[in-house]
Amino acid sequence: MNDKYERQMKKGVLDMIVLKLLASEAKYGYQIIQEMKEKSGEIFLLKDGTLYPILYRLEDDGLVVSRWSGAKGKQVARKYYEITEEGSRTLAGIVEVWERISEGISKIMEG
Amino acid sequence: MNANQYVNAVIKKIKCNGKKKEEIKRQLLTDIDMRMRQGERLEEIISGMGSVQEIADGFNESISPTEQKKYRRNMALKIVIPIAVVLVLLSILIYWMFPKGRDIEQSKYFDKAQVEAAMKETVTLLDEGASDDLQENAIPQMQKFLDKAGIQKIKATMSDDWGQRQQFGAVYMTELVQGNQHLAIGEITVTYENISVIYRLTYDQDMKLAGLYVR
Repeated sequence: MNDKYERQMKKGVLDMIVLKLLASEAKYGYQIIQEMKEKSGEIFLLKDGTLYPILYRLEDDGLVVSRWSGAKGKQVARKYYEITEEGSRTLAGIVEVWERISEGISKIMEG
Repeated sequence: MNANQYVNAVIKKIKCNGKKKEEIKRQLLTDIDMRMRQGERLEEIISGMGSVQEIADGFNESISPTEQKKYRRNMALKIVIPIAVVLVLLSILIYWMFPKGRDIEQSKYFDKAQVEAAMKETVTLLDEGASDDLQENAIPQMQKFLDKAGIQKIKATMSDDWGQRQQFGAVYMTELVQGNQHLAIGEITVTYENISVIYRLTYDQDMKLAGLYVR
């Protein structure tokens, strides 16, 4: 039962978190998964099957763009995702909504 | 299961176009490769990425209903088109194999007068019992039926004594096309003293006797 609610809550904020992680610099998929895991204190343990569809959707919506890096030496080619200007504006809007919701929820929970 | 098999199994279940599938495949394989270089075992990686169904479901959820509909239509076409092509080819083949009658006057292979002359000559040779000439003018499969005994047997199916030939009657003929084989088939009525006989004679493109039927 807890799992179900946890999944639902996480699902609602994934777009925002992914955009936030891409706000500082372009990153590749595995890097996003690792950073998300570390920065969230292992609260967000994302699987590829969850992350990539989000990235594809964000790309379809024009919020991120992607490019393949060429393979250098032993380093394999990677697909980097970068936030667009529209993505940054959308992120700012989502964060604002998140803060209002979070504040509202806090007030309710404090009783 | 190796990395390729795992990724291919995932790709197979994703409902999107081929280009996107290739992109997803490349990305998943890159990720697996990257993790393996960092010392993770394939089993751990697969477990971390999720089951084939789980990862495919994730992708499918992100694919728009329009694209999924397009994918289903394309898949249906991929099945329907080859079946339709096979059916059309089969129909052409059946049509090609099926015997078709054509007006002999339009034939590129037979001349009406020449066929009629050949028919009369065949009848004359039969009447004369000229088995050697008949065999010479027949296809190999027919030759064994055209020896003297064979000719007698054919005549005996109608009557023991036909009498002398009186006259040739009406002649009807057509060209029969079956596959790439062209045959001239003609019927001629011949009146004898004691009987009237209708011969159905068939000739191949070389005007060799290929069929003989009397009634």
